[in-house]
Amino acid sequence: MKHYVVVYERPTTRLLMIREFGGNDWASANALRNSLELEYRLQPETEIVLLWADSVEGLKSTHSRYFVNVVDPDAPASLRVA
Amino acid sequence: MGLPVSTKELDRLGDRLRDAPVPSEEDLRLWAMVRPDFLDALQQVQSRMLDRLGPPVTGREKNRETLVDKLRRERDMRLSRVQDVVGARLVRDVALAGQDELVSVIGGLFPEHRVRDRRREPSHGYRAVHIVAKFDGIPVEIQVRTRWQDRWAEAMERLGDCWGRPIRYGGEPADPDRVEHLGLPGLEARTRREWMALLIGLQREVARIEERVGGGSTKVMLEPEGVAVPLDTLLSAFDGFQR
Repeated sequence: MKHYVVVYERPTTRLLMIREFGGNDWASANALRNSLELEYRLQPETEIVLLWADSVEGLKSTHSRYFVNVVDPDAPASLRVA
Repeated sequence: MGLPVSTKELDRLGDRLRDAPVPSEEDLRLWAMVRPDFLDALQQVQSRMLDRLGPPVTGREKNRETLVDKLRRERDMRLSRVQDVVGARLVRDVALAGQDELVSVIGGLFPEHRVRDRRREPSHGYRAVHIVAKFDGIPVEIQVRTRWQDRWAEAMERLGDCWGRPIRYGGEPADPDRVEHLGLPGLEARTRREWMALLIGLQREVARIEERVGGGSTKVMLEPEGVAVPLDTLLSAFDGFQR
């Protein structure tokens, strides 16, 4: 099971960032989520989300709302196709 | 609860998160310290579901703002009583009977669980079956949705992002009398309030489609235009609305 940290801007419905971490790299995902929460502390309309899935395609199949408008240039290619 | 803080401390943290206009860094750090235990419980639940049902079974942690929104919306809610701090989601291409079977299988995986059938009690149009399983005393909410229920729920969530999250709980959209075009040929412009009513009404069509096993038309007749539109096209078009 992989970990995903997502930064999603609600008003514009843009996915600003997605980072994937391997199943054994939980500590890195947790640390990134915690630091992003502090960074975006004053921006309540930006969601910092931690998600789990076997693949990014699996994630897209159950949480499609985050992936309508992907603007992260480093996002996996499969997410950048509407 | 198998958490590193007492129930009382957890509830006090919830009160502070609810009442502060901006959460303090100290409270964010305390919340970060508590969450790994919820996440452990979620991973155990997900793993058990994956073994039995196969992928995809995805998981999510309730983000800080939606948690705070919930504590503000339900003033009597204590943080220690929130059942969906973490949750798993299962979406499958099944009809209602298939969804019932999935719920039964999942229930069998977790001796301590409670089922809430939101198909019988829709929440402002939202339909799904939720199971709250306890793992080491920590609640994990499992959302079991058909593909159509999920499609509708995601359209509503996204619209909530644009027009304000209160619409998910029966509130008015921001600027409710503003007239918007959906962008589909043959459909007249409507106010945001009217589009909301239409979206909520679409759940009746979803329910109708789900009662059928096998194929059949998924077109929805829209009035007053008298235009039949595929449900999927209609829901996708809702993704085009902006703030």
